[in-house]
Amino acid sequence: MKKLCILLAILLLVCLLATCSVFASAESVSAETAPLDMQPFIEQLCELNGTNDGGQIRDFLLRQFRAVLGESNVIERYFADQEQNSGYNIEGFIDVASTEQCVVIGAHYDAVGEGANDNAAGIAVLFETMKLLYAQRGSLPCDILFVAFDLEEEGLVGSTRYVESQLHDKTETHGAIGNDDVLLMFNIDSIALGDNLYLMCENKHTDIADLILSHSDMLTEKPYAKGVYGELDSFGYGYYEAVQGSDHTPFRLNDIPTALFFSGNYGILGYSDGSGVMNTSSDTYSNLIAKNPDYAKRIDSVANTICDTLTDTDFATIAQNARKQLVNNRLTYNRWWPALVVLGVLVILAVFTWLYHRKLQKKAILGTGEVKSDKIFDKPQAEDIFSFDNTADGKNGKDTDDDLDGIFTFKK
Amino acid sequence: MINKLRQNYQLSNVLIRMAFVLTYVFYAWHEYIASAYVVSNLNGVTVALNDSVIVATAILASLLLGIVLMFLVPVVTNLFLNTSRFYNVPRAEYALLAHSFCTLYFLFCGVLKLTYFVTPLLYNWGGVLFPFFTSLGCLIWFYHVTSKLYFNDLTRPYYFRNMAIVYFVLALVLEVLL
Repeated sequence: MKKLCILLAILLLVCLLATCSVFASAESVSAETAPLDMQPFIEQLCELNGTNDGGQIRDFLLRQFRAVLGESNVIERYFADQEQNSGYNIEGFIDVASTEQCVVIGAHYDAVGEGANDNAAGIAVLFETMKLLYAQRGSLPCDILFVAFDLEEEGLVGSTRYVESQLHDKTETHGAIGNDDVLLMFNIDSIALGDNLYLMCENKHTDIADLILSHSDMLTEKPYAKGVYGELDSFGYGYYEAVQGSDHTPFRLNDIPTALFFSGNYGILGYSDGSGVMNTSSDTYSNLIAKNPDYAKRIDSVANTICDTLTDTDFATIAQNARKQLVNNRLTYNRWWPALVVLGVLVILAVFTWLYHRKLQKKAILGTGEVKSDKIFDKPQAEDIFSFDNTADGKNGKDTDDDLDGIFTFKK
Repeated sequence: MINKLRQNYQLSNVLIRMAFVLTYVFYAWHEYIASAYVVSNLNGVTVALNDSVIVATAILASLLLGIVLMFLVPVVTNLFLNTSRFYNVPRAEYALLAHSFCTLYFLFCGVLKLTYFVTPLLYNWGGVLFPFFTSLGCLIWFYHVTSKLYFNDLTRPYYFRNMAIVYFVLALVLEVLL
């Protein structure tokens, strides 16, 4: 009996130790390999992008999103516009019962070629953020909408259609959402390559930008004054920023505060992606690993930053105020205002021109018609061509034949 | 220096034309770099250009258009003088003055355009106001010089009227409507 008790005790001890070691190893694996979990996700997404089969890509994303949020909280939303563009936005939802306000977190899933940086990495952030926020859904201040946009590369078609109609439609996952209910839109686009990870909220410092930056040691705020080339403003933002051609723009144009995460380099000429592969067939998974082996850290950093920002106790207050800090683009960046100033000056100028013309006409009636000024270019004078002999003087005031030879001579 | 140039028409002509083209490059480099970026990012073209290629393309393109503009200025001034029936004005000298005042315009406006990099707000407002006020100043100066050189009290009102009409039409079209 005693031996049996000792044996049982040993067995219990072994079981206890084994259990502890399993938990310990599980913790260390999850801590060390959390970013690395993204590798197969991105690799598979790049592979599917390479096949250019939209159906397969959507199925893959739907499976992944539903695995996190549940079957009923993820839907695909079809859209078609008058220009024969059609596609599917994929939407996931975390419902917080106490509020009707929400935050949209988005990234586009369409790509040129494999699109490893643009934008499989962004979708990976979206997926990672989804997992983090779902785990903390009890402490969220508002509903969260996760949207994978289609047809960004075709001119922000998916996000534009989403803001115009799909956001406001009542669905099986959520009720109708107005623009005013959206506190903030996070957009993640091309974050893996380039030397710097940037955040852009507005063309000035805002409280929401400060809050987001306070939760990241990798992010820097976009330098606002660089890359200003107005001719390229194809999205109606009022002025050009090279990275504004992304899915947050339709939201911002509807006065919804936005925060864009992107990477690259800003130089004196403006923005470049820092790798030269954006929107080319060279934006492959192998190039991504070759150019930035630590890309997973960026994915992890952006996901954690979004999660920490949303769970910050100050977020609700600052986000409520974010709309008031938006620059009024229609007033400030509307080209018609300076054009109206010019028109006003022209009208005043026309009056003065008319008065001055009258004055000139009066002067013409009383004037002499003489030109009083010198010519602009000098013409040679006689002194420049000839030399005059002022000393030659003949008898009785008359020049002799000898004297005449000395009156003037041609200069050599 | 100026007196020497005034005695040497050919040298003045060459120097002012060179200054015209160079200041045009200085004035317009933003737009050409922007255009080079647009061309490199056109759908279907997808030419990955690095910064040095874009700068070189922009400089060459602006040089080319600067040279074309240089040859266009005498054509425009001749057209203006002919339609206004000012037959006693020396055409080449008048065109040379037009070149030099355009050079001043490009120089002043180019300097002002550098302020676009302070804030995007200056791009929007400065993009319209800078060319307008600079061109107005240069045109008034040009009129002041040429009206004294080539016109008397009898002909000056016609010169002023015709120049004002041309200016108002161009300002309305280029600065307000476009």
